[in-house]
Amino acid sequence: MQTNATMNNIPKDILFHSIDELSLGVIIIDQNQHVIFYNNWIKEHSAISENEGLGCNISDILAGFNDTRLSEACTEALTLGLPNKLSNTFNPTPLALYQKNHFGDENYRIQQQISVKNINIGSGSSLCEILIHDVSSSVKKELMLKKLADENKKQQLKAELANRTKSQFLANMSHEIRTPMNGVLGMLNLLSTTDQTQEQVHFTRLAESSADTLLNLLNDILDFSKIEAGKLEVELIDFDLLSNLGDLVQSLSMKTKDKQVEIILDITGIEHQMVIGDPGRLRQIITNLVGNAVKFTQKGEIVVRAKTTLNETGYIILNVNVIDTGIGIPDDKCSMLFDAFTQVDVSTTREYGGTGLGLSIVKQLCQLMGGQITASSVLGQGSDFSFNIQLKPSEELPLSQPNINLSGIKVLIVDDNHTNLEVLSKQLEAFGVEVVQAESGKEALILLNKYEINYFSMAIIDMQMPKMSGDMLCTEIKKIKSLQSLKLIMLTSIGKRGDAQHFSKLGFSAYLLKPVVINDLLNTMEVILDDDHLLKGTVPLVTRHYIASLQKTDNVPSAKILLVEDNRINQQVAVGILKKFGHSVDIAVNGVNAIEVLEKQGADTPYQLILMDCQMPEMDGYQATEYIRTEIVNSNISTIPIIAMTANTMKGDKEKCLASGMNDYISKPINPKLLQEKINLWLNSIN
Amino acid sequence: MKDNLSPLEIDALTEIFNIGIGRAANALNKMVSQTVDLTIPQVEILPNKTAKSKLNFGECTEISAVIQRFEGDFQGQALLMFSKESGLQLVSTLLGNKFPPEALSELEQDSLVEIGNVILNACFGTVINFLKSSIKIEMPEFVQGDINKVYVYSSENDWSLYIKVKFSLPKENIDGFISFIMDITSLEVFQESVRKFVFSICQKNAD
Repeated sequence: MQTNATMNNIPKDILFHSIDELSLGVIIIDQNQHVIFYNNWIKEHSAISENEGLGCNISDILAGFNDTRLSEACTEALTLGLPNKLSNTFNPTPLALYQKNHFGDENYRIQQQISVKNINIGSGSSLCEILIHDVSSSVKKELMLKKLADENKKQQLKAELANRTKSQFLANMSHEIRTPMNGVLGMLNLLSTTDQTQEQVHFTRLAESSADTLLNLLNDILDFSKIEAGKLEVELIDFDLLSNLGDLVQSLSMKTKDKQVEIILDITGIEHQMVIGDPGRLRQIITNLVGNAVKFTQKGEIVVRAKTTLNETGYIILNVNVIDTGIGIPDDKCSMLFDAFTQVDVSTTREYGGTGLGLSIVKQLCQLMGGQITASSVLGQGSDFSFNIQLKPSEELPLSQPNINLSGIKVLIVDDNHTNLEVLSKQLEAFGVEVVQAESGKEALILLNKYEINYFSMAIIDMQMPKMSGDMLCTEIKKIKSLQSLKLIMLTSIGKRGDAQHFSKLGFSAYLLKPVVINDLLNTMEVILDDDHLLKGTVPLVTRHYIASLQKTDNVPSAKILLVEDNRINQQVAVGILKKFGHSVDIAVNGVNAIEVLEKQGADTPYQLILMDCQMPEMDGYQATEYIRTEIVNSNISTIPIIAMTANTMKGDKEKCLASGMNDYISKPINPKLLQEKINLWLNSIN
Repeated sequence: MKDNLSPLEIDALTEIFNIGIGRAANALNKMVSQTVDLTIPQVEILPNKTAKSKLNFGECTEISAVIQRFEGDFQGQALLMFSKESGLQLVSTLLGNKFPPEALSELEQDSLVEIGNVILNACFGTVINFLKSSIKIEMPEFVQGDINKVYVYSSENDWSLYIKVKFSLPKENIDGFISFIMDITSLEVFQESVRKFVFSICQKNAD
């Protein structure tokens, strides 16, 4: 074995032949760019014959060399020693090299990748080596691939466009369907206020509930298509998180009245009461989640737990858990819950109903509001849906900040539901109330005996408890002489007619429907503890309505209203609703007609409010409003509040209404309660 | 490093590289149909670790880089780096592609190498011309991977000549980064050349 073998000893002709036979082109030039070598490959792919051009300038044997980047690269290599790699792509005029036997045929010109390198031979002068790779076949292959990829991309864009168009169509269709729905719902609403036989009442109620369901489905589809079409908009308005959640959960608890399910609202973690965000969309999310929970829970409780935290970017993160004790969801299905058009089990659709769009919309809404949603569940034990959204801190003060001093008041709470007990205690303790908990009537009686007389000012008692119900406990307490001055508040999940009298007779000072809104409870406690009422001897049974009537004393005036609406059924619906509220209504069938009516009206009894449809023939609501606001001189007319009624709930509609000069906006189908609220709001604002 | 370059010397260095990069821009404009403007907003000499963090690529960011090694008066490697997206964007803009590809094909990779080659050569050319240095430069190579795979140095004590390059294309701006990673001895030689150059200029101005 040779130990000091070196490649320097290889005979020159071996080196020469191996370079000559290389399957790539090699050209070597000297400092004056004179050719001193080219290999066989060059000869085979050009018109150069044996030994032709040696010693000549390279441009003599390769036409066009002077104009190419190659010549610059050679200069750089020879003068500065810089290596250059010239790709095929930036080489518009490749050297005149052709496939074998096709010299001069441009279809066969070789695609080249060229390396240019300085060779240092040590004698002070340097040489330059040009290596030419044939990349024709890869170029061809890539062109084909590129064409395929471009085609693919084009198809993809086309598909996306088609999808968007479809969503747009769906959105338009939903709008078209909502308009007659308005008629159906409104008419049914009016029908239910007429004299009906028992059977007719029943049928009307069924028709109403079917129409409601249909409207909900429609809203789901509309929302979904709006999200798909990128037209869903999130509002940013100041709102009171506590009262919003309280009202919402209270109204949702109506859904459980036929079930043994209790809805519990836990807001002890809410540290920011006034926030900026979209209360409507928040409502939509919670309604959907609680709706699902109610649907799938037969027995037990549904806890809505909300808490807020301030993150480092200045946003309030609202975290809400909706926890139920329902049938649960298999683990592997949790992740696909939020996909559109899927339901855990297709058969659930038949049993429980629904489009399968709800959770997908909820997820999109959460994302739209800067958050996300997750679900976890144990089959047979229940589910926990947790979502968060971003809200901004509001600078406004809450409207009804409980201005109540209850600190030091001692209260006994009796409830068999542990969660409820905890939530209620925590909320009261936050206001300085000292709470003692009892989980049954029996325990309550023991505790009342154990503490000294008059230790508790008040007992809050749950109605639905096993063994000893709330009213039974009340009877027992009233039997005890020393507890005569103990005030009793009844909490009940089920509200029935006659409850008030029943509980009043038993000796309760107040009764409230569960889930209890903390502000209501605090107000109630204060009213009960207020000595004035005792002195006057007029102790009314305190209910939620009583509390509400104490707080609100605004008198709703009846008003003269002009309704501008072209659809005859919708005219009747609106007139029916307005008359029911005690307003007098005139009708104009379009914008032109409205202006005529307004200009003719008597100066002594002007219209106080205009309800304006947006889409009408001849002159639409926007044009009419602009005319009223800018062209009419009489300021009694030009400043009348105008509320838009529109079936469009697409992005920008609200802005369009406000921009044209309208004051407010209500979407069709018209919700009578909401309409009344808006009317009151604007009537109060002018008085 | 014992002593840093003075602000005047850094200014001179920036100017030298600006001239080189200007030439590179000319060359690029001849190659492609688009107009490309290249500017160097920043030249710094930094410890490798600092230079690496200054590159501002995340740990997981895929980087496309063109590397040319060099040896002689000083030795090390020169890198031109882009985030993968910027690299793709640059190539497809320069090639006039309608849709930017998701990955570089072999030929597009060659194109990026050529662009890198032109730019790095311009830097080398400047160094050789202005600083009268003698260095041997290798053929360009293409490397792709995260920062730890691309930005390799043998010692924490090594230093980098860090240059930020802005590519102004008709529709957008793309940031690229050039780094000359050198060992400490090379860096001292390099700095010495810069000082000599600045000194000779001052001398000429004084005459």
